[in-house]
Formats: sequence, structure tokens, C-alpha cells
Amino acid sequence: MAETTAPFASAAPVPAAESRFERQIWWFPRILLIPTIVYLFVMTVFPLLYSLFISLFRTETGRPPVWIGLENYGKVLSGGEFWYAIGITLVLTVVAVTLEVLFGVGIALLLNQRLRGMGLFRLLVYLPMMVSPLVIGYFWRYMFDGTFGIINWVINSTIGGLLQLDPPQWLIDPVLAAIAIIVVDVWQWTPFVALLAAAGLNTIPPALYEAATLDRASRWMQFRRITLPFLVTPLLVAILFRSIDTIKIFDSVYILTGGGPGDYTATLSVLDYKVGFTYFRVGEAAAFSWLIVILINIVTTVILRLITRSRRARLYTA
Amino acid sequence: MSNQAKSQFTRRNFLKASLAAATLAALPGTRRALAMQRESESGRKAARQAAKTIKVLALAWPSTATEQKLADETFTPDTGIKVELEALDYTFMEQRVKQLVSGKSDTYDIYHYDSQWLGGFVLGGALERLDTPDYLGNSKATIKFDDFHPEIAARLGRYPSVETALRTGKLDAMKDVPIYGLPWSLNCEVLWYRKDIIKNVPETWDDLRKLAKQVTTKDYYGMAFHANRAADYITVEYLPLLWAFGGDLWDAEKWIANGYINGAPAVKALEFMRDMWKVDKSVDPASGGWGFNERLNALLQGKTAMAQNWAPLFGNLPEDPKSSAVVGKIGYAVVPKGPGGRAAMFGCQGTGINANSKNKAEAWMYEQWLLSKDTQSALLKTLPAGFISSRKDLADEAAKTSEWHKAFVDSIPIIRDMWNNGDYAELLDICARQLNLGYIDKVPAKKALDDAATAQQVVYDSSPENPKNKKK
Repeated sequence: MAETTAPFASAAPVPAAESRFERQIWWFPRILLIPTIVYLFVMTVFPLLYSLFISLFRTETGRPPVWIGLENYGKVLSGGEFWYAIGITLVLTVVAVTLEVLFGVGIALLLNQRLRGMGLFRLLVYLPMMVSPLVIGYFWRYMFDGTFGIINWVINSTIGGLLQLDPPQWLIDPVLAAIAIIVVDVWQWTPFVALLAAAGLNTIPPALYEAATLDRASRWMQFRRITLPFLVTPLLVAILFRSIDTIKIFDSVYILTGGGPGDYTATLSVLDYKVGFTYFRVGEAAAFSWLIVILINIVTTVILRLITRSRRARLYTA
Repeated sequence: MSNQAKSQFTRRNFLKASLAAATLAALPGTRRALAMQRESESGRKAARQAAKTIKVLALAWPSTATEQKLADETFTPDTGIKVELEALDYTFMEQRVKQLVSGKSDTYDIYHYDSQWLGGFVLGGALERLDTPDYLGNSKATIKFDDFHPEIAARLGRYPSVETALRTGKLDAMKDVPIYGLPWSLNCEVLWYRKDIIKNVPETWDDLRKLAKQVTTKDYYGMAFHANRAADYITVEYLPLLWAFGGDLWDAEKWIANGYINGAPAVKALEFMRDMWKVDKSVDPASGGWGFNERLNALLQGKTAMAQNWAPLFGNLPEDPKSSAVVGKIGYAVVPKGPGGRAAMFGCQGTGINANSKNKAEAWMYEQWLLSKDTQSALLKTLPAGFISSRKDLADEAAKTSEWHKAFVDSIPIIRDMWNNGDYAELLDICARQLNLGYIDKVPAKKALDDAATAQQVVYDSSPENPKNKKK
């Protein structure tokens, strides 16, 4: 049997049996990765590259595509609708995500209590995020309808009826339409934030609360000095995911308002859809999509830096 | 248990034994299932080799189910050709066809299409030309283009359209225009009204407005519009008014918007609609967000005394007690007129053969069967199908089928349509956006329509179908 020698100790050739085994060790994991790589390439990389390619062409029905370079990007960036759509999308994102974080933390704290019936309550809380956004859009649209909707029926039956107020037209007034979209988004995705916050709460050592109680720290102080620091990272992760999703929001807006009234609630994705699938200017829609990707990357980079900073801060203070 | 037995009976051994037992138990079933699948696959293969199957991409209209049933009962036994209809929601149909055409797909053999889509489909190469010796020009063809109502057939089948010819009925100007489709399902907007509330149908739009105000109560409004910004809702609501007031969408010869979409009659028509909810309070203010379902709901639930609505497509719905609170109470009449005349919104669909189909001969056989007198008569008699034929030889039968069929037949001389060129979608979107802003009073009507004219002119000027651009 050959003696085992240290690596690089000599130029003597490796015995054949070990070399074959080492080759298998080297190849086998890579072979197992091939299906994943193929899937990623076909479903992600290729479509991205292809959309970048077609964004450089002008496409019109009945005519062959014409190379125009970056002209589509210039056309989108110089359009007032694009900048308005960025504005309305960012407003919806900031307001919706802020409310989701506030409510999500509250729900997580509630779910953390050991009370009877909490299992059922947990199921009911998480149910909205399991429903298709399209379905949610449709039933909220009927709920918000000024005449047939249950929301106005409740308002008319209570305070609206008492004060003789005109029922609010949720989907017709630009501000109320934006509020309606935020309500739907918060209703559906607060449970997601609550889920991440609940996971963060589970990482807090109970001993910290015990020590704080012994030191007569108030509930508020315990929340501020113990609970919140542990929640920062999971909440930033939640903010990251929710921001990406809300910037891309499409289904609920399309069904609720169609971008209306006028184009007041036409978010980036709704406008992009219109250019691509209504006007069928596919090249311009592809350029639009890439601009949305760039925007999302900017937002993601900022939030990821905050996450990294918060994790470093916890490491140094631990 | 002895130590030896314990060591033999480990968890690993138990799992191995369970897995083996489960595999053995599943084996016969698996073999049976595989055998059945092989048999059905070979059966399907044999069937495919024996008889062709053609696929039709249809709109999810009530008539589609009846069409499939008739095809299964009549066409397939007679010809051996199986027919599969796939019904798609209206919202997604146009983009689906354009995607199929871009990829030169032969998945479907026949497309049923809306009148606005004709230009885009022709330009995209979706539809086979039919005025050739293979189809309508064949001496053995069992249907002729002349079998159908001339203006409807011209609007749905010939492209490019000549709007003046269609309006005046002087269709000789279009006799050499190629034919790409045939008329299939017909509709127009007629006036639906509550017979128990409205005793005399209003003759003019001004009469309608006065009447709507008179009959409005706390339980229902006098009139309903669907003025949602999406799709073509507010546009198809508005156009009959625009035309009745003597206005027009554009100059179809010179491709000009200014002075038409924002002309005095256009502004007046939009202000008329707006003031009905804002001033008269005879229209539900929520109508600014209403689509088709909400307007229909208002009719069926007795929340409005009048509304424009499609006939005969949905004419049967008020008579269905499961969905209607006004059974037997809805009457149908031609839309009111204005100073510029009377015009009803065209809402018809055509049918054509996919230019990339591999079964064109079979598809043509199907089209001839579908548009034959017998099939059209059978569809007409099935009231829930909401169908009416454009065959001239069925005109009398159509008018007698029901009250809403008669209203459509009476409206044929006055039906008008919007653009059907390749850019119609963008023109329609601009129109809808600006009309909605003017209707909900976010922007004065004149400004809303001026902005529409400006935006639409950009589209007209850059359109490859604009005669100015064709000459270059």
C-alpha cells in the first residue's frame, strides 16, 4: 500500500485508484447541479437577456422589428407617464410597507402570547396571503363599489347615515382609489411581515426578559431595549421583500382600478403591461421592464446595506 | 424480545421492509395504469390518424357552449372532423391571438374575433384571405359573402375599411377590398328599460335625460352608465351620444383628430353624460367606476330604470329568476336620437381561418357549416345562446325570436363602429382615459377632449397605415 504523503511534498504520481475516486468526488456534485443550472438559465437568465435584446428594437404590428438601439429607453424616460408612475408606485410602496410593518409587529406580539385558540387565530391571520391576488382584487373591487359594496353599506348604516354624508366613491376619487389599493395590499401582506416578525421574536432569549423584569424595567422599556433590536433584522428582510413586491404590484391594481381614474393609479407594472399587451409595443415594454429592474435594484441595494449594518451592530453589541 | 431479534428489528430494517411492501402493493395498480395509458394513447393516436381535429379559439360568450354542442351533434358525425372550442375571456383574447400570430402558431385553426381587432389581425398575418378560389371564390362553396347583411359583413370581413362607404351604405367602394373573415356573432347596444316604470320610450337623448330625472327615486336611478376607464366601457357608452349629437371620433380619410374628438358635439356629449350624475342626480355617481358587470347588475337588481346594453347577447339574463329581480319587466328599444341623428354601438364578432393553420380545408368546411342557414337557425332558436344571425334569409326569423332580437334587427340600419385599424388599442386607451377624467369631473370636458385629440394625433401621425406614411 502506498504511503500517504503530504500534498505537494513530492512529484510522485498519485496512485490510480485514489485519483479515480477523487475525480468522482469532484464531478458528482457538479453533475447534480446541472438540472438547477439549466432551469435557472432557461427560466431566468435567457428571458432576461432576450428581453434586453428585444428592448433594442422597435416592434409594430405587421412590420418586421427595426434596430433602434437605446431609443426605447429614451422614449420611456422622456414620457411624463413614466415619472408619474414612479411617483405613485413609490408612494404606494412607502405607505403600504410602513403600515404592514406596524401592524405586522403588533400581530406578531399578539401571536406570541400563549392563549387558547391561538392556533385557529394564527390560521385566520395567515389566510389572506394564501389567496391569489387576482381573486382578492375582484372581491375587494366589489366590496369598494360605491353602490353594491359592503363597505359603503356599513358606512351608510352607521356614521354616514347619521351625518347624512354622501357615500365615498372609493374607486373614482384618485386619493380614495390609492387608499383602496393600500388597504388591499396591507390586508393581504401584513401576515407575511407578521410571520417574519414572529420568527424574530422566537430568537429572543427569555432570560433577557426575566433579567429586565427583575431590574424592574417597564414593558415599554423591555420592548424598546430587548424586543426591537432583535426584530430589526427580520423586519428589514420583510421590508426588502415587501418593497420589491409592491414596486412590482400589478394584479390588485389592474383589477381594482385598471390604473384609473384616468391614469391616477397606473403603477409601473400596469403601465408596462399596457404598453406591451394593449398597444403591443413589445420592444418599448421590454425597455420599460428593464428600467423597473434598475429601480428595484437601487431600492434593494439600499435596504441590503441597512441589513448588513444592523447585523454588524448586533455583533459588536453582543 | 431477544437481543438478536431486537438488533434485526431496527428502524432501518422496518423502513426497508415497508418500502418494499408498498412497492409490491402498488405494482399491479401501476402496471394497470400504464397499460390503460398506453391503450388510450394509442387509441387517441388512431383516432387522430383516422379523423382530424380542428381547434377554435372562441370568446367566452353564451353562444360558445351551444356552438360546441351543435358541432358535436351535427358537424362531427357528418364529416368525421372533431371540433374543440376553447373559450377565452374577452379581456385576454386579443393579446392571446397576437402572441400566437407572432409565433406563427398553428395551435388553433379558427379565430373568432371582435370587430376592432380585424386590422391588427390582418396586419399581423393572423387571418387567411377568403376571397380566393380556395374559399369563397370556389364554385362548390356552400356560403357566399352576399348571403350576409352587406354592411355587417363588410365591417367584419373586409380590410382595410372605408368608413364613408360603411356609413352611407354605398359599399361599391369596398367591392375590391380583400375579405379576411365572415360575420359570426352580432350585437349592438340597445336601450334596456323597465316596462313597469317607463310607459313611453324616450325618442331623443334630451327626452331620456328628462325622463331619467323624473323617475329617479331613493330606490333606483333613472339611467345607468358604465364609465370605467378600463377596456372600452366608457367609450362604447359615449359614442352613441357623440354620434347622435353630430360628432365623430376622427376624420377617417385624412387621419385627423383635432376638431372631431374635441369638437363642440363631442364636448356636449361628454358634458351631457357628466351632468346626468352630477347635476340631475339621475345616474349613480359610482358609475364612474362601473364596468359591464356592475351596469348589468344595476339592471338585473332593479337599481336603474334604463341603460344601454348589448343585445341579443345578454337579452336572456333578465328572464332568468336565478339572477334577475326584474323578470318580465325589461323592455328593449332602439337607442334615442339626437340633433345629428341616431346611432347604435356596433358590437359584433367575426370568424376567420388562421393563416398558419395546417387544417385550412377542414377549417373552411367548419366555417361553411357554422354559417349555413340550418346551423345559424339552430343557434338563433337557442335563446340562452344570445345569438343572432347576419344571414339575410334569417332576418325575419331573427326579428321574431324575441323582443331583444327585434331591437337588434331594428338597429341594424344605424349601427356604427369605432376604429378597427392596427393602432385602435392605443387610440381607445387614450379615449377611455380622457373620457373618464371628464366624466368624473376631474378635468373640464373640453380640456379632457383636447388632451385626447393631442395624444391621438401622435398615434395617427406615426401609424404605418396612415396614407401619408404609406406614400413614403
